[in-house]
Amino acid sequence: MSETQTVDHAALGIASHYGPAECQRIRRLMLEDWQKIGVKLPTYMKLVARFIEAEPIPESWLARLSHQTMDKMLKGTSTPRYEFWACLHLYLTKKYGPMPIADTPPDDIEVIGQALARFGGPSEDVSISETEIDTATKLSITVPDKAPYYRVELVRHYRSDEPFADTVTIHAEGAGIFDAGKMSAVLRSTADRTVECITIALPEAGQ
Amino acid sequence: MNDDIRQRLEALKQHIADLSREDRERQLAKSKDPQAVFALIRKGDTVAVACAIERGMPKDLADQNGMTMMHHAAAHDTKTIAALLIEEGHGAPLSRDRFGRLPLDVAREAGSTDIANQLERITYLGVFRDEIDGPVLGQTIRAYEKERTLAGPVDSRPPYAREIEFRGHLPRLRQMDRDDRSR
Repeated sequence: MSETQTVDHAALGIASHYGPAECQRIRRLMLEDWQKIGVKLPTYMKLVARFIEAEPIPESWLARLSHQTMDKMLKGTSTPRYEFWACLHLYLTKKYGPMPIADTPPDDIEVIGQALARFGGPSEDVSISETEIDTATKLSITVPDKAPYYRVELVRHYRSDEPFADTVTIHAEGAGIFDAGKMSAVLRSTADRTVECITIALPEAGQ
Repeated sequence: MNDDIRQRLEALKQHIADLSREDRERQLAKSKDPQAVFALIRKGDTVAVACAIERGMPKDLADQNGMTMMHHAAAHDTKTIAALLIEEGHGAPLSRDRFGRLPLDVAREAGSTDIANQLERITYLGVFRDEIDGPVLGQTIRAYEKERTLAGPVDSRPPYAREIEFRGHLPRLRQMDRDDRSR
């Protein structure tokens, strides 16, 4: 957190930078939320501030949030500082769950990964990136940037004894979380998109 | 198609020609039910698939997910079967499965690079028409082109867009819009 920022984005799980596109997206989400709640704007502004007041956010920013800054922002005229957007993003995240505000929409694996991390708790660190479950099955594990889950890829090979038989590759990918020495993952087959859940005990690095 | 696969295909055809009557019957029995051919592709049983194609399989045969034989071959990276399907005219490059995917999409998704290279040739016929020594033989590409010309325009809309009716022509711009555009 820089000296000028008084809202700790790392601790609160929100973005660390809000460019014009991100601000526009937050604005649109807030407008939709306001429309859904169906109260007058001053009441809505107080509701938002009340919703996040338990978080370590300075009183001065909560006061600004429930005052005219919010009114101006929703009318699209105001461009306040980082803290203002961070408060709104925190409100959206607390209410609707992890909400990516980047321009590019999340892919399927990101969606399931975020849901898993939210449902089962954030993943522990894994010391390996690849393991062989048996001679024909290989599991690859990668962690996306700043994500509380792992991307998991499972590749199985099979070759029948028939003459001219091709080696068949069965490929599935998805997301998983690591807890108490076990990787629990939800995988989707590339071929027919069937979903399977696996739980695998992972060996420690060097074993 | 690289030389290795080409030689393998030739050897496969020779092997099938040399099969005894009993062996051929045994191979054909595996695909008595046309839907069983998908399981054969998933097992990589090239000889049984080749026999089934030789006997005659509908080109638009699909499983419950709308996936054709080519979709399955691309998804499981069975290179010989894919090359065989393409050469025998069973590539079905414009068939979409229940998820709106072409065989080419499935090959890319599954990381079957060699098969994707071949499928590109029969999906985008106009681009590769004049290619001399590519992964797919020129005569095969031309056969697909001829078939597509005979079939007429295809419905390339994915399943989720089937209800959308596209207008045959664009509406004329009103005078006011034309003035806007010129400004």
